[in-house]
Amino acid sequence: MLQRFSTIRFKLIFSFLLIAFLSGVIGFFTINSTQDISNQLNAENLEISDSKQRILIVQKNIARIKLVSIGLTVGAVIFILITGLLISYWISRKITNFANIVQKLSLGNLGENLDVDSNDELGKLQDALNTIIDRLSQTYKYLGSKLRVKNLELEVRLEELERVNKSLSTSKKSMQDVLRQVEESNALLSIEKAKDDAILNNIGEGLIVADTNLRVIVLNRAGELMLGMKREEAVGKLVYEVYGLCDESGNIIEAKNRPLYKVLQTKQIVATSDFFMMRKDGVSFPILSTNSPILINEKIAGVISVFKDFSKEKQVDRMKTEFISLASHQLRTPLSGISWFTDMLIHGDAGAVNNEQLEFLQNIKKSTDRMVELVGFLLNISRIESGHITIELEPTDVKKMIEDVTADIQVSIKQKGQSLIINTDSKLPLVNLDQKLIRQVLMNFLTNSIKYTPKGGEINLTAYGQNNQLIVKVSDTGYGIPKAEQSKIFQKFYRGVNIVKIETHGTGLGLYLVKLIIEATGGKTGFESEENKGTTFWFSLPMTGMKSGEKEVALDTPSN
Amino acid sequence: MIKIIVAEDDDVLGIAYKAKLSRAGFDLRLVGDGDEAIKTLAEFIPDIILLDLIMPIKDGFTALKEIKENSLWKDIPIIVASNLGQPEDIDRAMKLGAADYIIKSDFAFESLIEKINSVVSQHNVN
Repeated sequence: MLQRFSTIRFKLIFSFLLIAFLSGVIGFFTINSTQDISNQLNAENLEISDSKQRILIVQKNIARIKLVSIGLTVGAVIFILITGLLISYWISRKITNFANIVQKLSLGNLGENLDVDSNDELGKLQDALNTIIDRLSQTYKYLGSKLRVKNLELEVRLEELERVNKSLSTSKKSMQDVLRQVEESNALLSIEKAKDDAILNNIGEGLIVADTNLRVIVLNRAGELMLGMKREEAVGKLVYEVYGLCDESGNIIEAKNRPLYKVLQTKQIVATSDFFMMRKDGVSFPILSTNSPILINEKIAGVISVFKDFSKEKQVDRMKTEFISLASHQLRTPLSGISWFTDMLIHGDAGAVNNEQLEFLQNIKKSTDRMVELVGFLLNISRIESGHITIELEPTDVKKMIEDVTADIQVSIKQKGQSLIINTDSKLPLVNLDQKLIRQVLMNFLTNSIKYTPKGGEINLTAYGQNNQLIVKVSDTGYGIPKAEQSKIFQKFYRGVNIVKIETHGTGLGLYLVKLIIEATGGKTGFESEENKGTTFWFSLPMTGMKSGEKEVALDTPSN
Repeated sequence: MIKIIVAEDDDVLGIAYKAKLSRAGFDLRLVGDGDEAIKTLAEFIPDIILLDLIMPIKDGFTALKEIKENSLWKDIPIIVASNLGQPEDIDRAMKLGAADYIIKSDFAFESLIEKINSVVSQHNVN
C-alpha cells in the first residue's frame, strides 16, 4: 500500500485530486454562498423593512464571498503554483539526474550509479538503469580483462612472429646466397657441359652411355652417324633395341653375350675387334669397341661404349696380310731359284767344283737358307698377328714329336761337338696340340741352345706333365742372357748384346714367334738364365689341349 | 724312262728343273701354266706330274681338280711343288688328290730325283 502511495502516478493523481478537491471546495462554497444569496433574494414574503436587512445580509454574504473567493483563489493559485513548481522541480530533478547519468553512460562512464531514493516508477527506472549500469560495468570489466588477456596473448604472439620474421629474414638471405651460388654453379656447369658436348660431339668415335638397365642415356654425333639414327630416337631405348651385333660368320650375339652386358656383370673393361654392328636400317660393318664400366665409389653406375667403324682397318689389315703373303711367296720363288742352282753346283751337276768354289757356294747356300728362314718367320708372324693362323689340334705323342724334331738337328749338334740329352716322361698321355706350331717352338729352343752354346756344350731336353700341364724344358750350358737384357729377350728382332758378336746371324724373331704361338694357344713360356752359366727355356701347354681356332690373337705388344 | 710333266711359271726354276731332270734321264715336258699342262696331257700321258700352284692363267688347284676328275688322267700321281706352305694350302691340295707336297724354298733340290722315284714306285705298288 505504501508502494502505491509512492509512485509518481499516485502522487500526480493525488495532487490533481487535491486541486480538484480544492476547486470543488471553492465551488461549493461559492455555490453555497450564491445559493444563500439567491435564497435571500428569492424570499417571497418580502417586507420592505426586511428588505434592508436582507440587503445587508446579502451585502455581507457578497463581501464574504468576495473575501473567501479572493482568499481561496489566491490560495488556490499559490497552492497550485507551489504544487506545480514542486512537482515539476521534483520530476525534472529526477529526470535531469537520470539524464546526467545516462549521458555519462553514453560517454562511457560507468562509475556512477543513480541514487535510488524512492520506490516509484522513476525509482524502478533508476533501479533498472543501475542494474544496466552494473551489468555494463561488469561486462566492460569482463571484456576489459578479456581484452587484456587477449592483448597479452597477442603480444606474446607478436613477439613470436617477430622472432619468426627475423629468422625468416635470415633464411631468406641465406637462401638468396645459396641461390646465387647455385646460379653461379649452373653457369659453370653449363660451360662444362658445353665443353663436354663439344668434345663428345667432335670426337671421331661413336660413344654410347647407358644406365645399369642398359638404356641409352647419351649418344654423341659420331654415334648418330654410325648408328644411322638421331639421339632422340636412341635415348631411353635399350641398347639391344638400338643396334645388334653379330660375329664374322653372321651369328647374332645374344643379349647375355653382348659386351656391355658383360661389363655390367664383371665391372671390367671389355674390348672387341671381331664384331659387326647391325644397324636398324640393315647396314652392317665391322667395329672396334671398348666397353667400360662407370664406377662411382666402386659401384657401377652405368656403362660406356666407344666404338669405331673398323672396315678400313680391317681392309688395311687384310691387304697387309695379303701383301705379306704375296710378298713372302714372291720372295720365296727367287730364293728357291738361288737355292736350287747353288744346290746343283754344290752337287756337281754342272761339273766338279774346287774346294774354294765349294766353300763359296756353301756360303751362298747358308745366306739363302737364312733368308728363307726369315721369310718363313715373317710369314708366320704376320699371319699370327692378323689372327689368320689356324690352330689345328691333334692328339700327339709328345715323345715321338720330340724325336722327330731332334732328328733334324743332330747334324748341327755333331758339328759343334755338343751333346743332346732327351728325357721324356713315358707316362705322358697324348696331348692335343698343333704339331706344326709346337715343332717350330721346339726347333727354336733347340737351335738357340745349339747356337748360343760353345763347342762341347751340353743340351738337355725334358718333357713331363705337372698339374695338368705339359711342360717342356730345353737347358744349355751356353753364354746365358745377361740380367739387363732378360726383359727384352722376347721382343721382335731383339738379339742379346752378348751373343751378337759371337753369332752374327740370327733374325731376332725366333723367340718372338715362340711367344706368339704359345700365347695364342693358351700356354705360357719363360726362361731362367745366368750369364756364362747357361739358360733354360721352357713352355707349358694345358694337357686338355691348346686353345683352338681362336682368331683373337694379341697384337705386337712391348713384351715383358 | 720316266715321263714327267712339270708345270712351273717361273722361268729360272724351269731351267733348274730342266737341268736336273733331263740330266737324270727323264722324258720331261716343261709347261708354264696349268692350262698348258692340261693341253699337253691330251697327247702325252706322263708317269708323274710336278705341279706348281700359283700360275697365271689356270692355277694348280684348278688343274689338279680337273686332272683328277678326268678318267684318263686321274690315276697319274701328282706332286704339288709350291711356295705356298700354310696348312690350309697343303690340306686343300691333298684333299684334291695330290700324292705329295713340297715347299720349294725349303726343299733340298738334290733330293728331287729321289722324291720323284719314291712317289712313282709307291704309286706302282698301289
